[in-house]
Amino acid sequence: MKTDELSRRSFIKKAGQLGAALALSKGIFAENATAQAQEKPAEKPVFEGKEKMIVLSSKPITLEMPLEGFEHFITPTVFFFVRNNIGMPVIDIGKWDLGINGEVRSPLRLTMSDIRKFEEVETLVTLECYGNSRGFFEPKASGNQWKKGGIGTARWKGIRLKDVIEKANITDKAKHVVFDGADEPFVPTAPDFRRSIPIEKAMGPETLLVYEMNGSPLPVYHGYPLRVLVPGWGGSCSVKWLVNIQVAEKEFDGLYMVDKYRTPINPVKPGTKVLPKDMAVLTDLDVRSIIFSPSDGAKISTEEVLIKGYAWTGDAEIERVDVSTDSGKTWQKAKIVKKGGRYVWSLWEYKWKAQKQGSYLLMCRATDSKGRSQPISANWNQDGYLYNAVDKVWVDVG
Amino acid sequence: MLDRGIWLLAAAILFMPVMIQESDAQLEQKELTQPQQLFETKCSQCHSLDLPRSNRSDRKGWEETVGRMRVSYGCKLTNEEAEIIVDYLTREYGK
Repeated sequence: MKTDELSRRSFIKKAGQLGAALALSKGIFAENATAQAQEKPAEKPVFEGKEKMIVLSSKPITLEMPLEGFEHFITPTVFFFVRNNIGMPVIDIGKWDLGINGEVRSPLRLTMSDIRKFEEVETLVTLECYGNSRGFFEPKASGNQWKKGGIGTARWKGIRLKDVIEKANITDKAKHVVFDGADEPFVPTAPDFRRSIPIEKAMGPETLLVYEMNGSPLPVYHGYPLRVLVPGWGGSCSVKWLVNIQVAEKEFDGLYMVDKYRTPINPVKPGTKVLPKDMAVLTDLDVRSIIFSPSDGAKISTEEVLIKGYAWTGDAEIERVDVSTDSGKTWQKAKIVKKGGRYVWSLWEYKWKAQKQGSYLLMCRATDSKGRSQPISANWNQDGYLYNAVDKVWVDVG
Repeated sequence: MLDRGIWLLAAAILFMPVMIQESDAQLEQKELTQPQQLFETKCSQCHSLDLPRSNRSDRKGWEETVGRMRVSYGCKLTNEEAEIIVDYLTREYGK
């Protein structure tokens, strides 16, 4: 990156930190000030606009959607999960612009007004954290112990990334696209958060730069004023508070590519530690379905109940969902009541009436258009990514 | 003389809860051992302490974690400080 680019970026980041400090004083969020309060769980902070969320971590802010959020096909922003890796900035839009550089013949610098001149796209997309449901791995994988709520579906508005890249006129060397946000590490010695995706995915018509979420400007938690949206891939690829796009010859080699967001190339026995060189960077999500109602441990009557859940996948589409109400002995096809299509989850239901009282293990299993189906046991990996085992919920009937 | 005694007794009763509270606080402060303080001060610079506290690992695992924080995540620790923190984590959050 050129010196002037670094200075510009540094300025934006500093401005962001100032904004964050001001926001903090207004009680908007408290990422930098709550470390001391962490000692006592009772003092966990509540984040404005995210009051109902489960706080997995207040620094960096990591908020999980509670089960009630699944009742909405389009996740209300108050329920939409948050996963920050470093410090969240607040950006002064008057000083913000987006740089496009690297392996391009015409480097660009775009203001929000310039960005709004590209063809606008509005679409539903389901976004999931690669670490969603890490808390279900056995033995425990290190990191935030997500249950089911590291996922959400929103209506996004923005422009196609490929339109911007084409305007910058890439060279023949362009193979990867590196995204950098205005977020800053908490200590100067810590690495910045940057991630890259292959040029093929960046040029896909589904990959966007978005400025609106559910009909409003992106909230600061979700990347105001602009974030990348990489449908079908884990949330970390959809870099927030975007300030620079660098087209590159090689995959980015920063910490969040070479140390994190990697999974073993070959399957390993649970508990086996694997060196980064024997792992590959995560790409698209795997097929998955979950049951959100009834909840695990629920007491239900012998009347007919509706088992409800979602199914989603990566660069593919959901083909079918099967449900078992007898611990996996038999499986029946669930009804997909709202098909989301590519990059959007599908809502499914299954009517069930228990024949007698007792405890029952309900299970669900999705299959996608690539022929992938959920395994009984997820592929264990030390950082707990891509959990997608058949979902299991115990209920008591009687 | 009697009046002075009554006043002293009244003052002692009045301030007794405060004295007890201060004693508790002092006690709590003493319980924060130096390794715990070091762990809290250093690790909370970059992340909530809930994160390590929600994990369990043996000594080798904590050595790897602390090593990773130093090498990859820019956590500035001397070798002695790293060892104190590993000892603390192994003792408090071991397997």
